[in-house]
Amino acid sequence: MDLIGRGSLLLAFGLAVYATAAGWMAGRRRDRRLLESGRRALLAAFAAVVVASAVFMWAIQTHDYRFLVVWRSSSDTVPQPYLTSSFWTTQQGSLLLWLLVLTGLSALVTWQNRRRNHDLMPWVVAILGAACAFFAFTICFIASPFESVGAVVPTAGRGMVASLQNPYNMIHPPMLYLGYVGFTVPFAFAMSALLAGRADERWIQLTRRWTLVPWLALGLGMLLGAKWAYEEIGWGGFWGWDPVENAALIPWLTGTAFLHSVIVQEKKGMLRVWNVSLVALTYVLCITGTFFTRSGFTSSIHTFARSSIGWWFVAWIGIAAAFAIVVISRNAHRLKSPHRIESPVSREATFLFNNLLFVALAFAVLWGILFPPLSEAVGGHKIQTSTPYYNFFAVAIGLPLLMLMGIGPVIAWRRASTRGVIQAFRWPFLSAAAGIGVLLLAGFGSSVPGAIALSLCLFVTVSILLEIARGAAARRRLAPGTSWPAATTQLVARNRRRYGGYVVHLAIVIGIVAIVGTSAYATVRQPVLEPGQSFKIGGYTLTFVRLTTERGPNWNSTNALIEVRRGGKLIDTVRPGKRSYTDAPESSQEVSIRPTWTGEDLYIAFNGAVRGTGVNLKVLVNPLVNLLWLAGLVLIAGFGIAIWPDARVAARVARRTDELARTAAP
Amino acid sequence: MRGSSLRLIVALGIASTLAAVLLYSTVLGGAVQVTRVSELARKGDASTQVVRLAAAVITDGDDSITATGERRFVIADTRDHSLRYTVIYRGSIPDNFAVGRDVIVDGRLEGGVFHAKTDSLSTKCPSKYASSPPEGL
Repeated sequence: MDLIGRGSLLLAFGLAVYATAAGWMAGRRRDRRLLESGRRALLAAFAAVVVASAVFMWAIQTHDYRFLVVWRSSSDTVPQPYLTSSFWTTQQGSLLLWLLVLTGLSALVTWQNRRRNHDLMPWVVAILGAACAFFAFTICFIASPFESVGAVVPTAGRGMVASLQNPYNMIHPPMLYLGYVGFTVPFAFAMSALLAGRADERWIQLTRRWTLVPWLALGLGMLLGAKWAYEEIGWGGFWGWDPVENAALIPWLTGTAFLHSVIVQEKKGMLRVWNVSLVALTYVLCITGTFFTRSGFTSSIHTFARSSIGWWFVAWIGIAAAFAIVVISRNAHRLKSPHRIESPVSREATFLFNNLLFVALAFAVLWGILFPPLSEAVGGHKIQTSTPYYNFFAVAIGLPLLMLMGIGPVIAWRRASTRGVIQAFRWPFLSAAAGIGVLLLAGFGSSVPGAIALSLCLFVTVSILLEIARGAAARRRLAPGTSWPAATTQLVARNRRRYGGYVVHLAIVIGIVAIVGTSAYATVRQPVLEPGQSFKIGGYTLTFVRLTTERGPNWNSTNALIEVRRGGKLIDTVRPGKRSYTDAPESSQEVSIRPTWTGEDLYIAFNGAVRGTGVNLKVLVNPLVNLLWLAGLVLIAGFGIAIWPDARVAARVARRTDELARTAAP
Repeated sequence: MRGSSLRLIVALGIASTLAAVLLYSTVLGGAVQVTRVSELARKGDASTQVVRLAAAVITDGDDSITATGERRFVIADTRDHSLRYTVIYRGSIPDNFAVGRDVIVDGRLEGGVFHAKTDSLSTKCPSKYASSPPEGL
């Protein structure tokens, strides 16, 4: 078995190296046969990794403890589907999943483009092949999932980390990997376009979906991780500015900047250097994030064990960054835009400011990760950045970004007149001003940034809704008698990308409302109660009845039986507790979360038993928190609208792409 | 907008971000120094500052929770387990908190006891505790 697994991985490594060489030579010699050969090598590499993954999964499912990784991360009593998810809970398994996704995407890209884009594809094959070769190398020679446990095979596994036995852990890591890995494709196309002597926007048109998918996956991956932390860790929050959380956030921020700036290039032919630099930066930051997670460079609740693999990642980051810098600088003359931004009060200038703020926030977060190890290396003492550091920049940069989110979609291209600005923004501005007044009167002034953020959310929402209403009104004028819902539907259907983007903006607004609600207006108490004792929090009265015990397939738990009353009426009985596992050394929190239709959660965590009969609880009333999960659904809806195929638009883009392809440099 | 003006805006934006980040992280209290138990022991009660202490757990204090929710547990220097402090702590206990684990906790030393800030206790990742191969191999 292990021979098949190891052999498949070695084969994948060899094929990826070959694809790199064949693609590169095909690009230089303009040799179609070599391109075809490299393309097939990538397809075969994917097939080989599928075989290796199947062998590894088989070993997990059959509890084959001859494999060290299987022995370390599972046991006979780990229930399904968590046993399946142990595939990616180790360094080795998660790298294999990464390679599986990377080779899969590479195979899909090369298959999709088998009959087109022959000027770009050799370089795309070479770059994707090199990325696959690097990851295959790390798995074959540094962190193999098929490492043997030794001569004596254990009869039982070590079990799975308790906190990972959670439904969200089933999907959170694969989603993040899809995001991290997915940015390889736009990076490969951007560099390929330059290597092929192209500086136009064709690579952007070809990779629009290939950029949106990893962006969404990374965003949803973070959201699912937040949900996991909220339900599993028991501290009542969902984002702790942990280095590994930040490692995913940083490329998502630069990726978001990129999604906006490409619009300026597509519409106006500007920001060409910026866009190729931004997509290269995003790719490098994806690998850097992986380095943070896997090297032991940072201390985090999510990192894997300290290992020598980090140096290989540093090398790859250096190679990718140097490659991008050389390619971009050698093509700088081609990337010069014939147009300039005419006015700071224009849509393109707004997009530029938005980009600067996204990159500034990404840099501030990155510095927060780099500062502790650098301070230790330079000064001998580790200095950690803490939550206030991140919160400061989240507020200082996040609030202007939020404002630009309301301005960007509405302000005119080229140069906005004063009259136009007043007309476009008077209602959003008045709504925000009225909103902040109402918030202050309603007692939300306890957090000034919170109140400002909520009023800006109102500004953005009104701005977007008015823009949609204006469009729908225009459609009704063109087709009298059309109802408002029908006009709105037609409007969205005719420009899915634009209005899908607006829905995504609304999702971000909903998410920000949730973040503000929980971070600025939550109520927390940590009482110690004896049986029969009650306490009040946020309109609820909680009565501790007694301690109880429960038993599951591989766990025992101690729970606190608590009656929840509101207005004197019993509305629920909850049992927060702590589980100890028979096959894992850790315990896990089993928090009780009681959501309400207003988006508020009553959150109860079990801190510990007191003197055998009492209990120490952590209780929070988290206002608006459920809007965060709703934001995820709205985000998916917006993404769906933006990415949904439109034959009319596809034909227009294909025409434009063909035109650009015909003008390819000889 | 002329190209030079645009470049000026970009440069100013980047420079001010750099300056703010560096200032905030190094001078204005956005960061806290991580101290080992041995370093704290050298300073003793002379250290009145709030510090972030990195240590190993010696006793978990599961049976020590008082009527006010305070838990008393013992920590030691990660390299020299003879250097120990009792910690008085109130708040969430991470799932991985257990004897032998490395933890980080914020607080200050008073009268030879480390008074921790509420909810400041964190542990290192469970996957950092990947087991060694079975004995006898």
